[in-house]
Parts: sequence; C-alpha cells; structure tokens
Amino acid sequence: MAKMIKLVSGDGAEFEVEEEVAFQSKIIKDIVADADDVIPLPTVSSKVLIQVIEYCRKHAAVNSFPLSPSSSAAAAASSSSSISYSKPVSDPALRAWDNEFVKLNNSSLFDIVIAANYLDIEELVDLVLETVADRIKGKQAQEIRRQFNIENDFTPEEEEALRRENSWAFQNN
Amino acid sequence: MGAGVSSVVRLEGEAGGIPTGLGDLPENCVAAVLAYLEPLEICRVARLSRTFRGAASADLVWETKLPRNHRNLLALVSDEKNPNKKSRLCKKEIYARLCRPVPFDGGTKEFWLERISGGICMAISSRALLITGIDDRRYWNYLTTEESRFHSVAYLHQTWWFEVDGEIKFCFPAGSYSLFFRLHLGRATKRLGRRICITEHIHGWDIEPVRFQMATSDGQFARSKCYLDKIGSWILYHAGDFVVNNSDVPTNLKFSMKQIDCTHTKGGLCVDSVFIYPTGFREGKVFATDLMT
Repeated sequence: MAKMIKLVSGDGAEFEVEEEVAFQSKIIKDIVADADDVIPLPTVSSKVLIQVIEYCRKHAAVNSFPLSPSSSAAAAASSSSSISYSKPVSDPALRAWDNEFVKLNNSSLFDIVIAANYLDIEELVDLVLETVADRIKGKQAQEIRRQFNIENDFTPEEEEALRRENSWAFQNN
Repeated sequence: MGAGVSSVVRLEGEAGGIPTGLGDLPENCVAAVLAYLEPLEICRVARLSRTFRGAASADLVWETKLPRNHRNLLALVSDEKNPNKKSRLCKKEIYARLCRPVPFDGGTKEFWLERISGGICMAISSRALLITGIDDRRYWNYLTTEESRFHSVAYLHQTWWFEVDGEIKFCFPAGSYSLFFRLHLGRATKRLGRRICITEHIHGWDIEPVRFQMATSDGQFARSKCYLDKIGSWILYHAGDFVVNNSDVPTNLKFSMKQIDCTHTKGGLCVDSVFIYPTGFREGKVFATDLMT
C-alpha cells in the first residue's frame, strides 16, 4: 500500500496523494523526511494545488520508469544557475501532455509557477517559464504590454539611459 | 522559498481577485523567462518596465549566453587600464564587451562574440600571415584601404610561387567552425568618388586552381581547390571546417592557400584576411571549393 501524504491548501481543502507524487516537490520531500505527513500550504489555493498535483501525478508515473536520463540527473549536470535549461522531457507523449497542460491563461500560469517555485518542482517551473517566454518571443513591445498588463513605469530619463546602455545589442560588426 | 509578496495577503488563483500578473513573479522567475530569449530581444523587453529592466540585467540570464570559456576570452581584453574593473563586470557587461571586436597579438588578429549564434568569430589580418615573397616589392606591397577591417591588405603584382600560410592557437568555444580566405581579384580604388576596379595585373588564375588546406593539431584535415575568377568583389573562399569539442583546450590550427605551379606567373590579387565563423553563419558570396578526393 503506497504511503499517502496529506496536503492542505490555503483555503482549507485537504488532498491525499501518494508519496511519490508529493515528492515531485523537493520541499515536501525534505519536510516529510522529518516525519511529518500532513503538510499545510497556506499560500496555495485549492484550485492551483489541484493543477499542481495533476502535473506531479503525471510526471511521477513517468519518472518511476525512466527511459532516458531523468531530469534530476540533467539538472545536476547543468551549470550553477538554480534553474536548469536542459530539456529533460524527451518522451514525446509526455511533451504533448505538458503542452496541453499549459494551455491556460497567463494569470493561471503565473499562479502555477509561483506555487511550483515555492514547492521547488523544477520541471514544472521550467515548463511554465518556457511557455511564458514563447508568448513573449517575436512580439512588439506594445503587444507584450497589453497581453501581460505591463505598465511603463519609467521616467523619460530612465528610458533614454536604458536605450544608451543597451545600444551595443543593436550594432553590427 | 521565493513566493511573491502578494501571496501573504491573498491566495494565488482566488476567484474574483485581481488576476496574478507578471509583476507578482519573483525576479528570478522573470529572469528565467528572459533567458529563453535571444540577446537582442532581452534588451528590447528590458524597456517594458522596471521589473523587466532588473530581470534583464540578471547574471542568470547572461550566464547562459556566454561561451563556457568566457573568462579566458575576457582575459584577452586589454582596454581596461584598471584590471580590477574587469573582474567586477557583471555577466551582461562581459557579454556586451565580447560582442565588440577584441584585438590581440598586437592588433593583427581580433575575435568577437557573434550575437545570434553565440559562437566566436575571428579575423586574422594579412600582417599575421606568412606570405612568400611579401618583402619583395616587385611581387607584393601593402595597400591602405577601408575595405578591410584591418585597414590594409596585401596586394600581389605577380609571382611564380603564390603561397600564404597561417597559424592560430586559440581556445574556441566548443562547436563547429568554418575557415575562409577573403580575397579580391583586382585592385579597388576611388576615382571621382566612385569605386572602380583596376584589373591590369590580373592574370594566371585560370590556368591552375588555387589549393586550400587546413589542419588541426587533433587530426582534422580539409583540402580543396578553386579557380579564382570573380573580379571586382571581395569573396570569402571556404577552405574547410573544423570541430572543437573542449573549450578549455587550445585548438591549434594551420591553414594555407597555394598556387605554386611555376610554369606560369599569377597576379592582380588582394589578400585581406582569414576569417573563422561558426559554421552556417556566413555563407555570403562563397564559392564552395571543390573537395579533393
């Protein structure tokens, strides 16, 4: 019988999940090591927790039977930055599932990545951030501002200074 | 654990609240998003807001754009009088500096980071090449010109033995590179403000092809030949490709071009420089030289 962990969302909902699913979160893995089976997550709403658990459940099943080097091995091999840029998900079916999973509006994606960052679920963080990057790539500044509701909070002087500071990027050799 | 400030007050995803925005993400997350973009785009989005500006300067972002051996490359930059300042540069500043040409070996060579591919480009001037007979003014002399990044090219009047050799020892970042000779048949000059090409000395290139050769110390080798026949333009003649696996080990590269059939003379050629580009970056006006079996 698989060991169960109880996760409690900020709005009081309780979720019982298998240990290997919960352990997709490094934080939870560490906490449970100290013999604590009920884990309150006051900053995560049940709506977001459900989505995160869904991701973890799918990826726990795949990680149990790795066909290719697991993400943790790839992450260990990567550089000093805490977020890995290696692409651990080489299974096309899983990639397809991930791509469906992230078909959410920006606000929902941000909620998920904040929770995943808090829970230290590296692959989920990478997945969402890459999705956000894809939504920014190739777009004009105006459109990015509109889509992500970004306010221009620069003074004209700051804008000019920034233009000069980054002019090297726009020059040719 | 990096949770956003606003999460203390309300839960993420609470229905009816203000939708979670990009500004609610921890800065390392915004930086991680930017790291997926190209350098040019990163500098563009830096102008969106203060959050983006901060994230766009994060070391986390530029660390992924720099070649692994960027510290070795930075050591070759000598325009900082104060050596301490070089060690205090953030990754973005290092990247920006390496994108501008870095001269070395007394200014006879220079390298720079190519922004789009992230690979290293290099130019080796004619002054750094071993040209047979270069000291004999009957055969060769140097011309000042703005058409070379080194402002001077070697011009051949005529010779029996045409041979240009070169060598470079450098820690190239791992990757695949192509080596070219930049040549010009004819001598360009300005008359009445317009560029014209003087062709009077051009001869001997249609009898036998020029032979290009390239070899690395780890056994890679390329040989090819090509007739020079395009007059009046700078052409990059592709001599060969090489692959670097380890950016910490210097690659020792030798290359040459020859036309040493002494039954005829040849002349009227400008030799500018040897260029090394990441493979695929520069096709340009290249004549793929015939590979010899």
